[in-house]
Amino acid sequence: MKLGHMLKGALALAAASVLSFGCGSEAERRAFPVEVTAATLSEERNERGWRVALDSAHVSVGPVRFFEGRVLLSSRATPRFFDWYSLIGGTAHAHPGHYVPGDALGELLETHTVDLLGGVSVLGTASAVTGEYGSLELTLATPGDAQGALQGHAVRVVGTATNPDGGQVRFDVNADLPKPVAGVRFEKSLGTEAGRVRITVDLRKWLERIDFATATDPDADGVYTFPADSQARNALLRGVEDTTAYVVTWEEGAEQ
Amino acid sequence: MKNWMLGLSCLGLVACSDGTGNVTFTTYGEDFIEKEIPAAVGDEAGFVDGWTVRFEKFVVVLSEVKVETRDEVGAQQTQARVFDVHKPGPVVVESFKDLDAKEWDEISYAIAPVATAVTGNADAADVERMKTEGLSVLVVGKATKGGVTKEFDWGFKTNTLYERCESPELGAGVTVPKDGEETVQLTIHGDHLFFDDLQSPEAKMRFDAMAAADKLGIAGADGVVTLEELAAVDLTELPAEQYGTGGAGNVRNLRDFVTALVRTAGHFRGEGECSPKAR
Repeated sequence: MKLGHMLKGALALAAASVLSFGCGSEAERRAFPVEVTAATLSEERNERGWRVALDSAHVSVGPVRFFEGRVLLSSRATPRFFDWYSLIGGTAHAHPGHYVPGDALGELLETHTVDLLGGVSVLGTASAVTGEYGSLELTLATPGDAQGALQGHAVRVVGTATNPDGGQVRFDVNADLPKPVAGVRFEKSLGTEAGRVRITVDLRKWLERIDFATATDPDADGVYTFPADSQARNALLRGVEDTTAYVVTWEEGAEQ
Repeated sequence: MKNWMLGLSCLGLVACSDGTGNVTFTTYGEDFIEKEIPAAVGDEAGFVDGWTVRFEKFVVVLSEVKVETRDEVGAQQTQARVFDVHKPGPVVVESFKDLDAKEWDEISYAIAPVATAVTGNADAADVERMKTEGLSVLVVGKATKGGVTKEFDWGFKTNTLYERCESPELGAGVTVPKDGEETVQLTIHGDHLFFDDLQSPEAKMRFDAMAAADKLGIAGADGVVTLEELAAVDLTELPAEQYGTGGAGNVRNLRDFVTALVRTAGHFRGEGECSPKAR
């Protein structure tokens, strides 16, 4: 079953205001703001020995979808995916991955460009239901507009990396992901209490494994990009895809 | 008169409970471990890069099998046992007699090193190796593609507790039938060791990167892929769309990766899942 269908189903039911799951438990329709910020990048060297200072960091965020499934745990009685192998017999089961999103509990469909060095940015308000939240799916959408801070990419980071010998690499790099970042941990029993979801981007995770020495071909101003097959681009993509680069918390109280 | 009163007494006891039943736990490596993991053909499961893998051993130490509810422990395995699930199965791990006939909704078990483990069906030499090297899982086999064969002999010291086991068809735990016996299979999924993503439902089975790791040492490529050679392959050297780590931390190289995958090998009643907890 497609995620979109699951979500429509859950939210359509929620439109009736109250959902009954048997055993007396009920889910109520609710909404909450979703905001994005970034953790301050420390001066500690990354694992390849580079100290990184950022001039700017931008990301295109949204939609954000919330699910009941917890990471590394199938919390459903019935898998959501089709087990084709059961049709052809045999006892060798193949089911890649151990994250099953399960029921959709909420979604924010807007997409915004976020300045990660600019403090907290409010993405919008998610339409949701109360329930046991386990994870979320974060789309880092590639914008159609080639202008602006992102220059047509989902992620753009500009800064300077310094190695232990004092050598510096000024860089201006970007990343685009082929699919959303799925299975970001968000475990919360959510009722109707006031509050908001905050997604904190750990920029260190994005940059932790990059060997900036593999950046080549500076432009006329001496600013480097990451070639397509370089370790640096590979490491940046792996960092941006790392679900632990996104720390999701529930902030009590009204929107700031 | 005395017998009649005893009969009434027994009737009273029966009326207060639903009787008892038995549960037998088995383990099974399925066709992928017992026979072969094939190269993928079309949409069928298998290695997408053309390799096939045949295991010669797939040894696991099974312990701490527990049947319980939130309030009560019904039964617990006290003796860890070593099984080679490459051998024909399913084979019995443990039998629990006279459990209350009811729904026990929590089942857990461990795959962990145990110094006092005894053989289940594993060879004595393998049991000894598991104990002396402190292993929980040992996989020995060959990968083949075209005319190339790569052997592997990998021992893992992972300690994983599989909790809250749940079957897609039968639900969580086990229901013990009155005056009957239920069988619960602790299924081992050998194909998981070769997935190219720790989290994605779209993960594929691959061996190319592991085969290419066979290059360390004086002899260079010697046809044997060691864990040390896997450790020398940083994931950032591999295609960016492969070997994604999802939410797993500190997975930096192929040895880290396959070690993380080993923790996902333990399953429940075929396709059922448990929540794996690293200890």
